[in-house]
Amino acid sequence: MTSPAYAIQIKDLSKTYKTGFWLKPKVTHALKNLTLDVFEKEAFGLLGLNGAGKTTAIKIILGFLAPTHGSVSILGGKISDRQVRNQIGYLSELPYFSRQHTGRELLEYFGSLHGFSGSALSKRVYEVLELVRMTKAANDRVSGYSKGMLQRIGIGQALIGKPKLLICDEPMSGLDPVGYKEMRDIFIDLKKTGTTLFLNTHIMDEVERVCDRIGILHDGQLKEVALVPDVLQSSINIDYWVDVDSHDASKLSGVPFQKSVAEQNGMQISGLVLPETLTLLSQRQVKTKGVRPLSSVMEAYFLKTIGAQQPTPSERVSS
Amino acid sequence: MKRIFHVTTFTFRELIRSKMLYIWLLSAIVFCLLAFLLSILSFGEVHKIFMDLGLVGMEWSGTLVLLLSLAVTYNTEFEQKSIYLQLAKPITRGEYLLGRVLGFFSVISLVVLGMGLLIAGLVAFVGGGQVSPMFFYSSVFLLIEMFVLTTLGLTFQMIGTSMVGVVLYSMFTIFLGHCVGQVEWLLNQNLAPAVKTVLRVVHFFLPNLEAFNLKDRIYDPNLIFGWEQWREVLLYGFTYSFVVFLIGWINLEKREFM
Amino acid sequence: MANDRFLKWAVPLLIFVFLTQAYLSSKLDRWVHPAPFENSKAGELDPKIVSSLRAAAFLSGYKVLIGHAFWIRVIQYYGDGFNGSDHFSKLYDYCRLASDLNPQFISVYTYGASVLAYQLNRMDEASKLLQKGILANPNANNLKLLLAAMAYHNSANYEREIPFLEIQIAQGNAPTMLINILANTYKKAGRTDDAIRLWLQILKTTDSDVQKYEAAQKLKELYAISKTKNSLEKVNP
Repeated sequence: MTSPAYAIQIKDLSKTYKTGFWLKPKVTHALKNLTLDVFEKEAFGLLGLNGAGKTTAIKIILGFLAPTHGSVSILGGKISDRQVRNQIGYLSELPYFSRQHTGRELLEYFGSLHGFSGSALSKRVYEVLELVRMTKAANDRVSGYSKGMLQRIGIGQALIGKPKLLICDEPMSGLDPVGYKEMRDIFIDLKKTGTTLFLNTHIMDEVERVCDRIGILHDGQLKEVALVPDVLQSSINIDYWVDVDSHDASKLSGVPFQKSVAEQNGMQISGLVLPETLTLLSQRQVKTKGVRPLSSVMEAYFLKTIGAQQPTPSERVSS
Repeated sequence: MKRIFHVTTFTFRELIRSKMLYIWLLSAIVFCLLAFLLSILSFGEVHKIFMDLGLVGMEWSGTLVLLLSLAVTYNTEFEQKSIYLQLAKPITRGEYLLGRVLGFFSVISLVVLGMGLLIAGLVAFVGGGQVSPMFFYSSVFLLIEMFVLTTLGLTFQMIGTSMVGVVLYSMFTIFLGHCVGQVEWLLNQNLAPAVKTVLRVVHFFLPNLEAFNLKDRIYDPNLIFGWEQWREVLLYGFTYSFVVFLIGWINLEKREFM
Repeated sequence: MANDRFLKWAVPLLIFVFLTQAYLSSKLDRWVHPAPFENSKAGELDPKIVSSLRAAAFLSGYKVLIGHAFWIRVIQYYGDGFNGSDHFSKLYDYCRLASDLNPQFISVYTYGASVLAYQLNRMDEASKLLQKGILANPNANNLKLLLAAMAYHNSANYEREIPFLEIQIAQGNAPTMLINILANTYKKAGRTDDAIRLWLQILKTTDSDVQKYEAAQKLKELYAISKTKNSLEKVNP
């Protein structure tokens, strides 16, 4: 049995920022002893709230930041090695390009940095434009592109070098539902071709559908690493919202295990006691209008891992 | 080498299509009008006025384009982080920086030489004079000065933490660079030894832009302009640029992209 | 992604190249010409304005541009009738400063000297301005001719202008017209022998038949004067 090949190996990685004036220095620990392996040909999702340290981790992996402590090996080498970088694609959050170029020129430029030239470059640019569905707008200036188009050109430039490893920082940022679905389809296609994906995200749906494994980062610390199927099949408890008829709202008082007391016409209840609660409501002749989950399994798992409460319906609406 | 060329052409295209290049047209119009006005007032010597003002116009338009380009590209590259996508590619930071310098310089050269051609045309057809070789030599010196300033500006871009800072550092260095030319004269004056020491150190750190200033002397009959001056000024210009480029490169290698 | 291999050799290389440029920089001084000014006196002008202009020109690298701009001020000064009440007393100092800033701008000398000499009758200042212009522009023959013409008309300045013009002629390449005017000035000043010497020079050097004829006529006339003069000297030693 051969040992698995690693796309990324992170060992004991820490990053400390010093901010503030010299008289009042402030130290921020962006990453604390992060140790993580990403295998070749897998799709790995790094989850975390804003400020959890996800982007810092990516910046260190790509060499944009120097670690305070620890080491990173990428595709078996160092990021400073040109050959290693030739096999990596990177998409930053909300990618930005010089407004004076067309989409095609941008891809040609990035392709040429990967060593493509002549007809090979033209062919590769054509393929990528097709892949990211930007063929029609390829000759328009970037200044006229929408956010979604920029994101697609962004993923295009990441893919132009036929990368073995694709690193994306919040790739779904700013996308409309159609763009979101298209981007997700691109990731699923890439996975099929054996490209290793490393995605930084906080969109759970994206993780559920694309990733094989997830890591949860919170306050700079890796809290959990798990296989996505295991998480989805886990017996994790999620909360439900039980909607009742407005005339029966008064009958909800005294129902056990309520998490948030009936605001007006319903109550939040743990999935563990859902059958019993529904039976009780039926006994009290409370007319239930519907029952709906307040979060996905993945979200519940994430929130549980970072020690946060599942959201109430009003929080969900506002979020 | 190929990658440097790709960065150069990318940068060239980026700058040449930018609206801020209209500044060139504006400065050309302003200097031509000024030259016409002065030639009316000066009772003759139209060709001298056109040459003098033309050379200043060439320098100013080149410098303005440089400063504006630095501001615009600082926003694109660093504030909007487009540099991340480029440095993640298989290109060294030195190749990237050199490509940028050459891209900037090619656009600035085009602006400066375009203005030079316009002035030469005006001198020949309107001023009724011949374009002297000194005008050509002065333009070449001006281009070397622009190369030094481009390298400096882009190095400030690699070190600086704000767009305003980069532009201000560059402007300040241009101003001091012209003063440095007169340091030797100051050193011969009655100054305190400490002041003289500071002046000597400053003399070695700042670019001596007056060494490239032939424009004030193109009509000077006492000017002995020969191979020796060419050699020394050219060598100085490129060595100084190399020093600045190395500082920029080292800073870019060590820079943390927060 | 600090490229350690690069950083290892970059710093020693930087030190070496820096020292090289410092050495080259120290040699540049002979190509850099600080702007020496004729003298530090502001004359009739406001010393603050003069110092500011000189400092700006000295430090900015735009001496000639500032000179051109200042020339407009000179023209404005002479164009303003109010300044006529004190006979444009500042005009010479204005021209002097303009020529300090832009020494190869011939118009400053021709315009300035003509106004000073023929409008304001200040021959002395006009002569000084022209002589400064000729020294800064040895090839500007029109300045020499103007000075020679002024010398011919103004016997008060003979002592200073004639030797100056002689030096200019001795340096060679002087236009025949200049030698012609100086020869006539000698004649007017009673220095017949010097006048003969110059006409002989014209006769020997010129290719123009007209000038040769003129020189021969003048020499005939001067020899006649010389003979009379010699005989008179013999009678009244």
